[in-house]
Amino acid sequence: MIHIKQLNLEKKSEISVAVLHGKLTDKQKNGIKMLLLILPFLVFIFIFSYLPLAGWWMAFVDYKIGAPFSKQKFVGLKYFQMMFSGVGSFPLVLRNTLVLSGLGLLCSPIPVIFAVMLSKVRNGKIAKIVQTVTSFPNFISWVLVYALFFALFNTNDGAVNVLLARMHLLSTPLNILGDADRAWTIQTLIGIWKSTGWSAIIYIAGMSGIDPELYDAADVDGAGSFQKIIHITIPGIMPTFFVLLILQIANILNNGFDQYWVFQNALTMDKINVLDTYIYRIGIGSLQYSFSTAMGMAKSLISILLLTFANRFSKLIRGTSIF
Amino acid sequence: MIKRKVSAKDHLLSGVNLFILILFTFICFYPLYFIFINAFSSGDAITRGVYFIPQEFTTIYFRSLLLYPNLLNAIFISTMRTVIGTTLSVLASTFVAYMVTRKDLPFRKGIYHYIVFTMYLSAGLIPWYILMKSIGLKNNFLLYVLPGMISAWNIVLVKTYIESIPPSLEESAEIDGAGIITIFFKLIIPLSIPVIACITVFGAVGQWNSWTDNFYLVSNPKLDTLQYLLYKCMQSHMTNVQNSFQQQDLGASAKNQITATGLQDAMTVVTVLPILVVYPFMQRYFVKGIMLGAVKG
Amino acid sequence: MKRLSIKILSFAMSLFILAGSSACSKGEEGSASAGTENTSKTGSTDNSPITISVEGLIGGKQNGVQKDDVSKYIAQKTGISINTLNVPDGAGSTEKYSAQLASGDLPDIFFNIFPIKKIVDADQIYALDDLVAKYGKNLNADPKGKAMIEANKLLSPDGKLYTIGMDRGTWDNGTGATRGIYIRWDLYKKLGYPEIKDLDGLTDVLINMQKLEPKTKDGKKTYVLGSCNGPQDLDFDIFIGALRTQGLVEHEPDFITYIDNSTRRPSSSNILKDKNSIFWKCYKNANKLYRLGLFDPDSFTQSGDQRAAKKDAGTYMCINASWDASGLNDKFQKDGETDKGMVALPASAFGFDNYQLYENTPTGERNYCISKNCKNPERAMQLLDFVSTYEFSRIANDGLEGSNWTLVNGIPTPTKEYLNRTSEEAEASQQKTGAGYYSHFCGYKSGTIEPSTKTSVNCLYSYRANHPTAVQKDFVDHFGVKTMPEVYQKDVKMYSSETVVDWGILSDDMTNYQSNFLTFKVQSEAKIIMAKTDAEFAKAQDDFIKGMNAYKVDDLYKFFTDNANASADKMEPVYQLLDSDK
Repeated sequence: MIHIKQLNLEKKSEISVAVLHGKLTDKQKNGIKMLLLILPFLVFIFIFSYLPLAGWWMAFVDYKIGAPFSKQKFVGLKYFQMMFSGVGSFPLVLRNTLVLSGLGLLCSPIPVIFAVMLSKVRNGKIAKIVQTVTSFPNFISWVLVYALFFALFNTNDGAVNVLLARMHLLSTPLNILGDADRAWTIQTLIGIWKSTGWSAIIYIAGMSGIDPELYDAADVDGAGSFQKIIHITIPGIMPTFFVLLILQIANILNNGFDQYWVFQNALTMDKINVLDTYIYRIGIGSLQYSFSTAMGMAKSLISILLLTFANRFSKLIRGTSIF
Repeated sequence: MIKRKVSAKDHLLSGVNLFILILFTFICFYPLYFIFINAFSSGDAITRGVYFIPQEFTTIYFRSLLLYPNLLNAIFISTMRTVIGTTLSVLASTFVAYMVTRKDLPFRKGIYHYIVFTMYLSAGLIPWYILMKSIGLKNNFLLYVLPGMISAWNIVLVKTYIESIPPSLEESAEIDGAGIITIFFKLIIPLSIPVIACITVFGAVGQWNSWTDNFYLVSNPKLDTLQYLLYKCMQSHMTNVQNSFQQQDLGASAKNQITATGLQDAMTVVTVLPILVVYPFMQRYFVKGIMLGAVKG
Repeated sequence: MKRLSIKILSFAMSLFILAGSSACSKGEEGSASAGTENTSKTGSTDNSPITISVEGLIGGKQNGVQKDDVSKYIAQKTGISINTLNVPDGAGSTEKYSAQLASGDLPDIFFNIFPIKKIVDADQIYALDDLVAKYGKNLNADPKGKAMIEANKLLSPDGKLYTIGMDRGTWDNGTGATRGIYIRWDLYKKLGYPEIKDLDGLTDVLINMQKLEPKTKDGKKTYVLGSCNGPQDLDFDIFIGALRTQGLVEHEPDFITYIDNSTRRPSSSNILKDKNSIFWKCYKNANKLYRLGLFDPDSFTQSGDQRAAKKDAGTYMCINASWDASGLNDKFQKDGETDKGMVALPASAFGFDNYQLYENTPTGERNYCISKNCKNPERAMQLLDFVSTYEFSRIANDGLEGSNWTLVNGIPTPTKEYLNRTSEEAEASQQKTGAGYYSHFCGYKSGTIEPSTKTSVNCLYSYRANHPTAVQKDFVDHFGVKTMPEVYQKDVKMYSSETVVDWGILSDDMTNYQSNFLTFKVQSEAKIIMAKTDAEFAKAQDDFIKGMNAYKVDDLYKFFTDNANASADKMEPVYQLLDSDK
């Protein structure tokens, strides 16, 4: 039944091709067939991802919400300039965004290392349990992560503070949630805790795709455990790692709203107010859609630019790119 | 297979490795455990601090969910959207990923650019809302499964994985006369089980946790999802100033035994428990890679 | 594998068809009975069955036409079945309304969150002048209703009426300030009722109070004051209570000026810049408390939920809102400690003669518009008018007569069950009675006193006023009167605010400045409170005042004060209508 179905599909496209275009080379016929197969999906992507971009016109007008297009007043780049107007914290916000993203990039090998470490565990049951449990933090919403943190680290009766005080290791309680100097480190550590287990999954899957015969051959050559990691495991998952790294570089300006929104307060604002929370507070909170659309558009275009550069750079260094 | 002698140094490294992993596991385990025990503790106990076992055991947070008449229906809808949405998404993403790996696809590079760029392009809420409304996805179950069908992220992951499959396999299949669809179903999918398991897990969790599409575009209570119900329950018990004004005075002599934190804990439990139940089934498909360590040292 | 996918797909198809068809019915359930014919002087009222969608903080646990007794009552009396679309305030609601407005997708009647000029520009709502003249018989017969209409006309950009205000009146019935200075009365009594002359004196008394109870029942440390990490919470906890006790109402969100209830005019100076203003008095005291270790250091990091939990545990000596205090008071009552409790200090305790006991919102706290998507604006107005009465407000809050309340000698009185229910039982019973489903879609707020029965709209409030707890009895005795409202209303010239202010709409540039200023402000306030020495305090104060100029605060101040002054005159007709009802 499967063969007939496949035959029908191929026949149909072949027939329609022949009918519509007359004589073509086999290669061209094949190419058109391929395009037809993928076409519905491309149209789909167009509808759901590209069509909404028409809404970017909102960034160039003094957007009167709900009024028809004809009634909107064109203002050019006014809202793009607004972010540079020097008011308030934009330079600060940009700095925070880049620093936190930079730290995140530096930590991107951690899930890889974790996956490799996991692969070295002798007991399969333990390995599975560790893998499952380490992905738990991913399921805890950021609001709850904050509540948890507060329960553990608040200065009044946070469990960790109480414990350390009882063990006479502290005279004054730690105020981790209000610590501006260490805010970047703390946020990065929290990010690692939350995402390592979950991010490692793709690398674990990648390791499943490595040909076991490679390991056998290495054994024959007398390779040690460490050497096998360096020469087989890591190269096996490197492609995935680099692809994700490039995508992450392009994502520098999009830190992720939720984490920084819940941890922001009067004491840490200067350090962890990032672009997304800034735009939300200034834009959507006060119904300024033109402004937030302009910022969103700028971020999108910058991301695409970063993606292209990171890709070129990768091609220079590694000889391959994701495209 | 030649077995190497395991030296003392290896044992030490192994021990250190295991120790670090166990430590990290504990740090990951305790928070969820903490949430679990708090979800069964009274509001007063939570304020005092619950760290080991539930105090003043209560199921009041969970019972507040039962007050929603369409709860069972919502569970059904959530399950359906997870199953259907994930299946569609995995199939579509995997197929597109495969197509993009084929060198005989014209404009292959351009198409891949076209797909990957979507990850960074967004025009915000209002255009999205207008689009969904115009194509008739308001108050429609398809809203839950159609827009997420093609995920650039999934496509990137699968494509990278497929590229590690030796091309000789595909070539010999073609020589045998297999068409694209056949190769896809009989060769690519079986060989890509680990990455497919991955994106299935990612996709399913994403579907299970979604509620914003429900919030914005669905007013028919028969189409409400479980996650949305949880969100509504949360909102109606918030203690911020705005809502304090608007809390309906329910004549309670013991006001608000339902504290916000306890409710959030219960919500997490309700959301995470089904995932934990189903997770091991998918895990065995991608976890082969770390199992090798157990055998091969 | 392929067969399985085909099976799943075909199953899915059948589901879509199912879901699609059920979606098409739009969730209409229950038929509206044709009500009795109801003629009125202004024209015949159509009572044929119809469904109207209303969006806002309304309805029950799920959207659609509700099945409770109140909803059935409305349908019976007017023929209108309300298709409720519940959108609670807070996160997400602004975006949702915006998306609907942007796509022309507003329901028939909706709660308006937009500045009136913006929504009128969108040209998606009806002007209501004619409709309310013809179909607003209840509103037109009520002076407060007419005042609301007049006020909303004066506030609109072109003088036409665009919104009908619900939730007029007050949230409290005079047994405690909506926002004020609440203190632990039992501890104050233990100290021997020391005289409090001013805010500095108050701080000293509070410090002594904390010494009496250095730990809560759970053994946790107590503080005089505590706050949380929202952008305006420090202000609300530290200085708004004091402001209202002087009959002044703050300008949100930046607090650079206030409105004096007695003159209805704004402050003569920017209170953030004036070092002698009440703002600085309060923050100096907060700093003093912080240095003594009596200002909760977690105030800057804890969320509203965590602070609420601490409040209910008795951690703070001074609280500033009636709903916050009631949580702790209820707990004392439940635990049998009836002599303990929080009460608000009256203005006379400080020698002030002007007091903000509660806010009598003439325009209505929640304004509803009729969108042009409504095919029957006449019926929509009929509905809005129907729910605007005292009678319906009571039903909206407490349910139909006989469910949670009965008439005892003509006074609405809560039933025993209503008084003793737990919140869980109350929510469950609500699904039958409908009490509370429409409490934000009715004419008057829960604390408003209904003139004919002299009882609050939500009868629980009056009941509690007439059955004071031990601590409340001690309080009224101390002031030599019989009831709590008397305490607050004696010796003052004014005790409620009825000021309607048109603050104007800032340009986009200025809104940007204001939003950025708010971030700067809350950071500065934290530094001010945490100053360890007088020199540090002075520096933090100067930094704040000087730093303000970068955000064009002077321009903001001028803009708002000019508009407020203009309003005082413009709104005269409204005040005359309100006065005619006294």
